[in-house]
Amino acid sequence: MSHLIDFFSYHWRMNQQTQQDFINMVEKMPPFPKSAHRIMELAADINCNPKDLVQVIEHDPVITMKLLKLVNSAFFSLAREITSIRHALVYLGLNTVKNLALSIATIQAIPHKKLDNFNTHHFLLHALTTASIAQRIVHRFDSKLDPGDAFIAGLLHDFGKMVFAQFSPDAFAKAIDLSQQKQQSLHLSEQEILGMDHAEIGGLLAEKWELPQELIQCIRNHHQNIQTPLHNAIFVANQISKQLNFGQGGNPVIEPLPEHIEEVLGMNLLMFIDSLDGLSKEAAKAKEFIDI
Amino acid sequence: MKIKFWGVRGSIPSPGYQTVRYGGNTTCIEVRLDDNTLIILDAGTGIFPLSQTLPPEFPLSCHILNTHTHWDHIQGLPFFIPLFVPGNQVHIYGADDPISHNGIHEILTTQLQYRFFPIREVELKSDIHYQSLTESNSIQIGDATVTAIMMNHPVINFGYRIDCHGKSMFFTGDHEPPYNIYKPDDEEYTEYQSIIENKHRHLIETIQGVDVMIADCSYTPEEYPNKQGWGHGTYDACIKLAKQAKVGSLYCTHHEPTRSDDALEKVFSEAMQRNPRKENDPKYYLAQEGLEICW
Ligand SMILES: [Zn+2]
Ligand SMILES: [Zn+2]
Repeated sequence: MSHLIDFFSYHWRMNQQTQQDFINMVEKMPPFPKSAHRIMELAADINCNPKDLVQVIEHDPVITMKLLKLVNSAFFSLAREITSIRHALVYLGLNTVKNLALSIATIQAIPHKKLDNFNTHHFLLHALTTASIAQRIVHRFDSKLDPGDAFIAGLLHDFGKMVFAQFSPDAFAKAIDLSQQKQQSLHLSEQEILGMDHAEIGGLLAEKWELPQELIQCIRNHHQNIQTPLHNAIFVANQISKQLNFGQGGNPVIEPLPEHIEEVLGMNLLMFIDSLDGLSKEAAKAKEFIDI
Repeated sequence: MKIKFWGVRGSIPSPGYQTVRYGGNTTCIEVRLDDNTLIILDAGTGIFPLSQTLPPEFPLSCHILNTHTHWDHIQGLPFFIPLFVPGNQVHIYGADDPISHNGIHEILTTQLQYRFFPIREVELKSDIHYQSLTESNSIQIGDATVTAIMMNHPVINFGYRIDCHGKSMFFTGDHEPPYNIYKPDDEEYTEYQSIIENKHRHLIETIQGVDVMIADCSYTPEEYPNKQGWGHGTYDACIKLAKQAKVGSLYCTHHEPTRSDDALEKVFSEAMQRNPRKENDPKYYLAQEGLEICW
């Protein structure tokens, strides 16, 4: 409960009605899928029992179906058709199956339904490309970080927008328009019009979902100037995804890299993008992943 | 075909007086086709001494097959001299990583980040070509056919079979035979076992009859239980596979970095005692830095 109290005191200026609205919105969001939670737990445990992993995946027919579709796709071009999760485990090994299941399960958590004024498909594409770019570059900031964590953080960083899009679609559409007009970052327009931004409400949602603390902080702070390696990776990946027009998260502003990040990378955003090979394939792969 | 070992050590370079006979460099194998076409299996630290022998062949065209991107298999790449010399053609092949979507082209980019290495990728003056491989698409390198097969390791690891004018060799890269995750009295045990056997048959078919098989024999059977899931094989499992696939000879490699030369010879001779060689069985050897096989 304490986070809610913090949240009240921080937003003391807003009227009671609006605060309660936000909390209701978050409460009304679907729960984080149980299987995704379990797979996250198992993935974080280096001694995880393969039997448990197989069981969790097999009990979720959607994840099972998607995982099999993926391992049988052109991307892998395996010499044999994989027909079951156990088969995939023998063929691809525990680690690969674990990580694939984790990606699929987390993407499942994003509501796929159609919304007025908000293109969920474009949003997903932005989230997914940010995720895979973050995963790819995270070792530039800390070689010990788990790329899987960067993937999930990238995927979920803008989740708060889904809350607005579902429960306050008109005001959210206004915020997007305002950002376009003023060419200002979407989170500022959200603060002006809705009284809260998507990072903040995304943080609340992540708390409701009982995601790991680090992930909650990363989502909540992704528009703030905080310098953790994970935060830096998400920040840069987010700008790259926007710069290359991979999908659309409603934010027209591409932020320049802060000095400390340029220092780590040894170059600015455009040079960095140039130095990363095969980025153009990223969107295509992400599309494949969403459509599976 | 000619093979020369330039690095036979697993995990980390292990120089020193205790490893001086078998060598301390990590995985690198030079393969020469009959027309002298150069194929290099993995770019562990052994690739550096190899590359020092190459300048007489400049301008050179060579082909590096990467089994997987763990450090001990790529660590020497930024020191591969031909990369820096204009006119050379370096072809690098390997698997894309399905999790991060990192392509094979990113090995060098990752290694040459300015914090870790003083030379930038743009300063590599040779022509570098990357090609992603998949299991079901064999490729041609000169007169040779190269076939990749998915092995079992914490990251995607390809074993490579090279066939050329009736001669052939196979290298596992790092590989742990998949084990049954169920206990014999679990009801899933039998089904899982049959999947493992199917996969094993596919592996045998792929390796079938090669003249030379080079395999990850990191552990003894006594050491293995504590290392299960780490992605490496045992002498005994490789010997069994070599027999089943009716290969000509097996070279055991990926020696444990902590194993001295004496200890290595000891565990190998014990493996030989456990698995006495019968007529028509493969011949068994320890891979050794500098060792050449020519046939
Ligand atoms: Zn290795
Ligand atoms: Zn390895």
